[in-house]
Amino acid sequence: MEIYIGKLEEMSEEYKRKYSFGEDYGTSDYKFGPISLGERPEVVENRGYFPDKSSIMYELMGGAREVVVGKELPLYLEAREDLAARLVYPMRNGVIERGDEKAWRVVYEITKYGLEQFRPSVSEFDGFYVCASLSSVSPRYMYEKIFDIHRSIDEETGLVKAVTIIPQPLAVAISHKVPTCVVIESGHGNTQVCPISQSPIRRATVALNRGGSDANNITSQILYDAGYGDLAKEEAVVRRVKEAVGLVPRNLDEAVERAKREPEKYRVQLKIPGTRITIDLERESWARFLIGEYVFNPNHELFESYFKRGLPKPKDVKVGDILFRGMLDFGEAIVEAVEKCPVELQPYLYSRILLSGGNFQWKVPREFSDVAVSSVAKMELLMREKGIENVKVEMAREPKFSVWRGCIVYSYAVPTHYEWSWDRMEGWLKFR
Amino acid sequence: MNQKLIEGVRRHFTSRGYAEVSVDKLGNFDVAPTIAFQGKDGLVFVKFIDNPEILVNRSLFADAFLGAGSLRDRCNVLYVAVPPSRYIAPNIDTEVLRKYGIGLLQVAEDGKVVEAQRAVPRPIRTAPNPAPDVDKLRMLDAVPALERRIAELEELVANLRGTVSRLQAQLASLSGKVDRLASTQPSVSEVAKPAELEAPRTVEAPTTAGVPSFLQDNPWVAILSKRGEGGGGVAS
Repeated sequence: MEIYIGKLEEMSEEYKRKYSFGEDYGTSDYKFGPISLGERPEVVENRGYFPDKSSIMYELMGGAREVVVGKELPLYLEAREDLAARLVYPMRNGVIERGDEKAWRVVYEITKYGLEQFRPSVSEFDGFYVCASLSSVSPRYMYEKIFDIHRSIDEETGLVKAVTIIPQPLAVAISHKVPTCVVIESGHGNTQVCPISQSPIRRATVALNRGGSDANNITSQILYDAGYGDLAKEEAVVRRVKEAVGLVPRNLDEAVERAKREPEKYRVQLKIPGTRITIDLERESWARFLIGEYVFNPNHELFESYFKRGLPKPKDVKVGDILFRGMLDFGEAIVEAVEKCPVELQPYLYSRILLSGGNFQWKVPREFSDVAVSSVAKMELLMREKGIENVKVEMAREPKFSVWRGCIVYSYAVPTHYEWSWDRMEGWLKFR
Repeated sequence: MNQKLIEGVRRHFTSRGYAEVSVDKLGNFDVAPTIAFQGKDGLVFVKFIDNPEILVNRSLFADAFLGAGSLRDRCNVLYVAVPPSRYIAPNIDTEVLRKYGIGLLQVAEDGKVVEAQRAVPRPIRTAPNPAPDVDKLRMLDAVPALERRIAELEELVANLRGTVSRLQAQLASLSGKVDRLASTQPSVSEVAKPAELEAPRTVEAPTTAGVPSFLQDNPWVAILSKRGEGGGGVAS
């Protein structure tokens, strides 16, 4: 029997070497493709468009499609006031509500679109071994939905032989070849702190209700204070300003004091390409440091006046069984997560902290290197403040692709006879 | 050129107060507009791309589109007009259209016109071309032949890409078999201990030769390959 299983594994290894398939449902992009793509997956925006069926454009483009996904989607967009309602980003907040039928419809279509792109034309093909990746705070019903979606797609197309789902932080750790570490994944809507030791330590995961969108909020308030109230409402402009002028301070008090003392040195002007708009923060340029600090720690007293003037304070919210904390600083979040793990393991977890996600991409201009720091340095400082010394923080390389790569490794390596278990939340759900 | 389509565009602009302008009187063009108008936004050029052969061929379409784009600086408003076709959608990047302010008209067989992308008026930047350059015209004559040749080469490259991909998969498969054969050759000491040969076999970590770099020397491959051997993952 053991020899028989061994033979089967050899055959399936050969098969999976060709037909392992990774799916990363990111907040902005859907990254997908088989192992044969090599180092990088295909990428399309993780969104779907529900065209107005009564429009002429709908008829002109062939009609009969309830939802449009993929690279041709922009051609269907119409300049309409209800565009925002028709354009659905299903994973914008990492979690899809159980009854959000539109969002699930988009996930179905984009998953099918991705698999259809790589349908092999050889007779030996009997479906992909698909490893999908979701946010580590996804509730159980999201797993069930993703399984159902793949089952339906397989019934329709024969493209899925088996499917499994792993949390995104685990995929990041796998692609970076680190079996024991803490992964902090900070995206648009939330942040997940996930200790990993050969598997995600789920009971120790700490979720924060804070992400890139909160940094956008404070940037918007800063623009408003600087006299750009009209631009402060435009999300694309606010995001661009955040990325171009935001700085992470080594020490917020010191950075603000120096920027107020030498306003000309820290003054920033930003021209929005393709427009006549130039933003000049002038004497408010010291506020650049607030943007970066707010991401890592929103508890400084300077933020109080912003909250009083209407900046939405990140709140504690409960989604399913998970509590998303609003105001916990990133250092405290790591300590809280690690301290839920066995004591013996804790030093090893602190010694490898992996930062992943767009919310950690901050510039450090050379002329400000004495007051501004990178995300890695800021996190080390926060950990030192908590009395943790032997810390090694790293930024995930090519963060955009690391989750997909982790999925491919997982799909390739996990034996095919290992069946899905809801207790362990791992294994293959096989369709044949 | 389909006259019904041209008539549709003519109606579309004249009904909006534009007057048609003879293209011949506008100077020399490398790629001439199909039809031109003068109106409230200044000089409007419309370039048709409606040849069925071009519409289904990505490279020919890109070439035709670039040709139309060369008119951008010669007019205030530039539109590209296409018939409704399912082949067009993947070939057009609306971001590019928006960036250069080029508009897109979809013109149906019955002459009905839809502005799929509105053009942005811009000032005219360059003077009309000087007298035609004979060498240039000769080179332009050679363009269709070159285009055909490029299309043939593209097809050849696409076939080669498929062949290389198949060979890579076969090589990876062979390499895996060789590794497994090498690891299963019994050594002298193993032959001397038959009892060990009968020991229950456990699943070995998959080989990682010939696979992407993130799989090579990745300790997770060995860790994950032991899943299902009792115990599964550590945490919960």
